[in-house]
Amino acid sequence: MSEKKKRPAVEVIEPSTNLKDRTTKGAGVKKPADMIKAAQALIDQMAGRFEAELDGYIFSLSSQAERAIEGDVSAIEQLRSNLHELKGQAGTFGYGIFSQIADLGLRYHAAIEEPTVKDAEAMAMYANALQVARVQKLTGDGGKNGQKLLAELSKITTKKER
Amino acid sequence: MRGYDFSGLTCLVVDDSRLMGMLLTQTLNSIGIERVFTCGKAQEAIEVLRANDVDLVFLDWEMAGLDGIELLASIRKGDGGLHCRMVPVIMVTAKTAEKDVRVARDAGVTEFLAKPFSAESIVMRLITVVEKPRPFIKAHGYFGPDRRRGPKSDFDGPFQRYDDHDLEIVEC
Repeated sequence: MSEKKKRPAVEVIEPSTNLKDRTTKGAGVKKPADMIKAAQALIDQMAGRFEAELDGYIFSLSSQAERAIEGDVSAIEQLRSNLHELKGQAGTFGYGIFSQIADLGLRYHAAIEEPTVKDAEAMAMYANALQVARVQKLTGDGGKNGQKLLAELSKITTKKER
Repeated sequence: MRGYDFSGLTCLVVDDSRLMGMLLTQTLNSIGIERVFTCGKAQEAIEVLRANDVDLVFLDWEMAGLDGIELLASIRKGDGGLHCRMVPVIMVTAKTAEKDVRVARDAGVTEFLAKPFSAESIVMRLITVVEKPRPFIKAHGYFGPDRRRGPKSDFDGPFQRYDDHDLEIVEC
């Protein structure tokens, strides 16, 4: 019998070199640092569009939270979906505090087995916190107020995850 | 550090958020990639892939209808044409839990770009995909980039690397 160990049938295919072939490298072309600078300038320029959408998100989250508390289970999933969108977008455009709050809400949601009214009320707290952050015009990491808000919400999330 | 001219590349951005789709597209334009297709739906993306020679896909995970993972599986199956079955796919997502990363990896994702992202993370992912193309694995139940990364010194299992010479590789 062969000493060799058997493994499932597998074929290894060498990767295409298309990307390398179509990319020119050298000293005379754009350096990564310059690309990052150009891309960051663009992100900063588009932050205003995100800010215009932020109030819409917060309005939706608040009404979904209200519906969830009233017993509409589907509103909890809509809340999760909006928190997910917000987590991805806010931090990209310089509103990290909103991403962090949304992330805590998503972590709470991930720990829900069968949604209860208590869960709906807890999810509403994340929506309310986002509203508070907006009213206080928090940006970046939210400063002292933002960190205080996060600390309170972290307790709720951590308790649920236990 | 040397520079890069990416103007010869064609990219596809698939994101159902208009703002994020626009942001990624314009960011790629700003770093020199002029030919970028943007789609908000999986079906449109399949059509773009069928009709064009796309070099790289930036794909959002959570989308209405067919989501990013389903679209990725569809691409790897050849629904976008056999010419792009092995196209590198960067999953752009706020789903960053370990189990999510595993799901994306098992669906055949090439790289992961966590949202929120920065300008730096986009540029660095792009350079990684260009500089380090990954071999593809065709096996029972999986078709996608080799999921194994570098060797681990403390790994004592039998199948650490595909080129382990004491293994008998059975061709499909």
